Amino acid sequence: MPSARAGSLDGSAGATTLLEIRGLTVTYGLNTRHRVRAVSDVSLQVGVGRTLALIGESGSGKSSIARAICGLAPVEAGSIWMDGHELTTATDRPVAAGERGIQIVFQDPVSALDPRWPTWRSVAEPLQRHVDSAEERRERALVLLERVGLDRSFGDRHPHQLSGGQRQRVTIARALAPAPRLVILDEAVSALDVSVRNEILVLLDDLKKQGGLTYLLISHDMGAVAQMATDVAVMYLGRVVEAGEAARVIKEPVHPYTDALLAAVPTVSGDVIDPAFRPRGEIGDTAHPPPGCRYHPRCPLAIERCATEEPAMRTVHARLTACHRAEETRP
Amino acid sequence: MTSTVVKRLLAIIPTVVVATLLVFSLAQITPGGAAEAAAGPTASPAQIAALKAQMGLNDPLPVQYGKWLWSLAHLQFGQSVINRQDVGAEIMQRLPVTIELTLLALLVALTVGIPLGILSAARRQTRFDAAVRGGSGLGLAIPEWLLAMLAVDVFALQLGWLPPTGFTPLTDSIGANLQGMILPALALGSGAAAIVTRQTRGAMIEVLDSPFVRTAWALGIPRREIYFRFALKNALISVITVVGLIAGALLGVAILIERVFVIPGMGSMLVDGVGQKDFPVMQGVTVVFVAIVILINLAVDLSYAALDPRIRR
Amino acid sequence: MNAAHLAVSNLRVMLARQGRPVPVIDDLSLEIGEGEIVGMVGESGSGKTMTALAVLQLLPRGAEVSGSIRLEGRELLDLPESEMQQVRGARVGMVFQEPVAALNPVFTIGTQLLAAINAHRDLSRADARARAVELLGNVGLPEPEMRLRQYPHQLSGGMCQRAMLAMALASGARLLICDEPTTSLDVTIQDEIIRLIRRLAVESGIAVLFISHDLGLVSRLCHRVAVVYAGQVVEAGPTSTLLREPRHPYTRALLRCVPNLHEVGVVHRGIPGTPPLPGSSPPGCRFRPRCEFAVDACAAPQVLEPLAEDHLVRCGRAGELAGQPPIAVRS
Repeated sequence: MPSARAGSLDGSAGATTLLEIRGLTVTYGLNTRHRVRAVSDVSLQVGVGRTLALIGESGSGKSSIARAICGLAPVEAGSIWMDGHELTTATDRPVAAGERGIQIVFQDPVSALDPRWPTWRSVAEPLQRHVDSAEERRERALVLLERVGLDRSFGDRHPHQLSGGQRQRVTIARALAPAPRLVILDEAVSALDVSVRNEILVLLDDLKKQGGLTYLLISHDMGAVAQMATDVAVMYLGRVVEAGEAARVIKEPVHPYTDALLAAVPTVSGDVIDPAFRPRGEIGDTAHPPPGCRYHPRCPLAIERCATEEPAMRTVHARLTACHRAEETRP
Repeated sequence: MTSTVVKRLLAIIPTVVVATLLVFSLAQITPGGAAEAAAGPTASPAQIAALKAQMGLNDPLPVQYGKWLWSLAHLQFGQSVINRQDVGAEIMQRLPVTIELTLLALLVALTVGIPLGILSAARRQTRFDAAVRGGSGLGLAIPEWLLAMLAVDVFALQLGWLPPTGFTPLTDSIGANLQGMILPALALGSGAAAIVTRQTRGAMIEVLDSPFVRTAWALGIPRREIYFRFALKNALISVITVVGLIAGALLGVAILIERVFVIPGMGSMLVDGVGQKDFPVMQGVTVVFVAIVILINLAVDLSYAALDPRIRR
Repeated sequence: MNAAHLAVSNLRVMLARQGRPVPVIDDLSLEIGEGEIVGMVGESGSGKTMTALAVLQLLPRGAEVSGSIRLEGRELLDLPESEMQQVRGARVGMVFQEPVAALNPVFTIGTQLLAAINAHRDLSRADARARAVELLGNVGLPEPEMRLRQYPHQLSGGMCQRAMLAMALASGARLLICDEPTTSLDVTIQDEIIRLIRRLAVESGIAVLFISHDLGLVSRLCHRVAVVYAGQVVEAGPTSTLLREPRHPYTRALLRCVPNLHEVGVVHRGIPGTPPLPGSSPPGCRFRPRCEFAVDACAAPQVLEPLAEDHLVRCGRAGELAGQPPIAVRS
């Protein structure tokens, strides 16, 4: 099955690939009786300076991909390449990811920061390996705090004295400390109030432009994705179902799941899910995925073929998708 | 559920092995050998040596252990070296008494502790709650044997309501038996009741703050049903854990209580056996106690699965 | 004018926070008519959940309540607990966030549903069970008899929420309060639950108070919306009016934060700052520190006033600030 190359369809000719995932399979409990294959044979590319958003619901496997990149999830098959270097074979995968310029910002700023440390110390933590002087580390930390929109005086405060948005800015500052090239945002704004969320997105957008960063955005929040993403890959039960340029996938989705997912997003423009595309039943179980196309039990367009034959990734309407009936969903 | 039971049973095997090893080594590490004790203070070295050979104490240790384990498996506990009586038979006579005392004490602890704990949690921060907390503090602080002696003094000797000492077997007269067991059970159960009260109170407070109890309120379910049915079952899990821990301790304190009330249970048998270095008795009683505690904890373990469906696999 | 089904007037709730009592709800007024679906939108600290708990009289111990809450003409704040127990479930039903956690983990769905049914009615065992099966079927749970024997952890979030809806409506309540019922659910499931709530409301003519932080979601479901900030209603009116002509600066800013799938790659600003902690606002407009239109006059306490019939705004500058809505709204 040919692999999905979101990056190569971004239209920007000559964009170099920064992060490449080839045939990745992430399996938890590999040697036990409860094996769960969270990600199945996924291939993706993130171009330099782009923002690839992985979207999907529970069980889609998007968070597992983020963790696998950072060396925090077990890889059963496939490989992950950063800037031409393979990460999956490294002895200490998390350290290797960090040294290749990958940093990650998680969803919950409360548990991500040591409550006993003043924020400058949390921000300076990644610098400990390379910068010896504590004073210099502190100074760099304060500069970073300013960069994320916090006054230097925040450096001496403790996490419990900050609001949710402020704490998340601190974790972002910490992620920027080792001057990364790729920042993974794993539901980084999902736990914040909506008014604060957008402010953080604005910050992330500014930081990206100023710092020449590349983002891998993991999110179930379509609003955030629509604002930030240049490329999008839609996942369902561990597989990519559609991938391509953000504008194309979001405005004219081709896969029935993408269509249903987007239509379910509560916007104010009054769009309602076309009953023809409404999904049926519950999201499946990653541990026991249905045969054939994994979406077929819920898909209103499913035909016999969908239950037996897994659709291959192919190019339809200038993006990649895995659906037997992709041509029919959009005239 | 069956697989849970089987798995738990298999899991206690290592515990049983270690426990028997430790009990067995009692005889080896106690100063003054078993043969010396059996022969008595006036025996000559030759007599002691002969006794040693006869008791099989010259065999290699693993062999001794194996032989002992084998006879245990046949429920043969040997003979008392002091009075030559069959240890097993005596245990069978005395064990029910100790078990009755311990069970009654547990009953006291649960029937007093759980309702008090629930009410205390329901009336958090009121004077009732403070009184319960104070009372349970006292129950914890006062040693059971002291309470026992005080109880005997007040209720038996001064007020004459209940007999001070003595024991009537169940088979003779249930009424007399229970009359004689009231004070011992109350005394023995006082500390346990205090612990159960506190544990129930703490667990109930936590459960009463949980989202699903709020749902029950929102549905208009009557308060009594919420406390005694929907909240209690969740709280019981931690209470049962504590009961398992207490039960082992109760067996130990039962020994003292049996002394105070002159009850012919296992406790006095053990104390006398230790004093006389009667190893078959010591080992026999200890093994039985250990077995009881292991079974109690097994029961506690299985009850988790019965109470909480998420644990059943 | 019909007597409102639920009429909250000048509600004030004080809770003890760090030793001193603070108002988590301050002068909140709200009306819901028969069969109306009213949304309450706010972020953290707005007091929206507390309003729901106040109606059910399930506030935390030590809460001081003043004002008036009239349900079907009856004043709830005067009722003794024994009568309030008859109101809960039988006249008002409530569903909560995090449906799996809101159900008792050691009892089956059936036991809990039957308890809800039997709380207010005396039915024979057979009748009660039949009613339970009927209720579960009515909320769209497949194989209702099987669900009765299952435990909450065996069901998905969406199924638990359906079960909770069945329980909330088991005793014939005419008012349903939903407190963030879909926040923890996947977006396609969220859509199904929202449609279920609408169907249940329309079919039985039940009034609904729908509490959420998501203005987009509220706009899809509700006839009328009340926007809450720092314990007060700042704007209220029919949904279409609020979406077309939002007059309070907070409402306008919130609309900016709603997902907009028509503009991909444009990052919208949120609202700088954070929602205030209860009791920490100086007198005057509570939104002032974050408001882009603040002037000196905003230091005076703002009053909720009708701008037009059925459109109330708590902003002295509301009239002047009429302008283009921030988002193109298609209805």
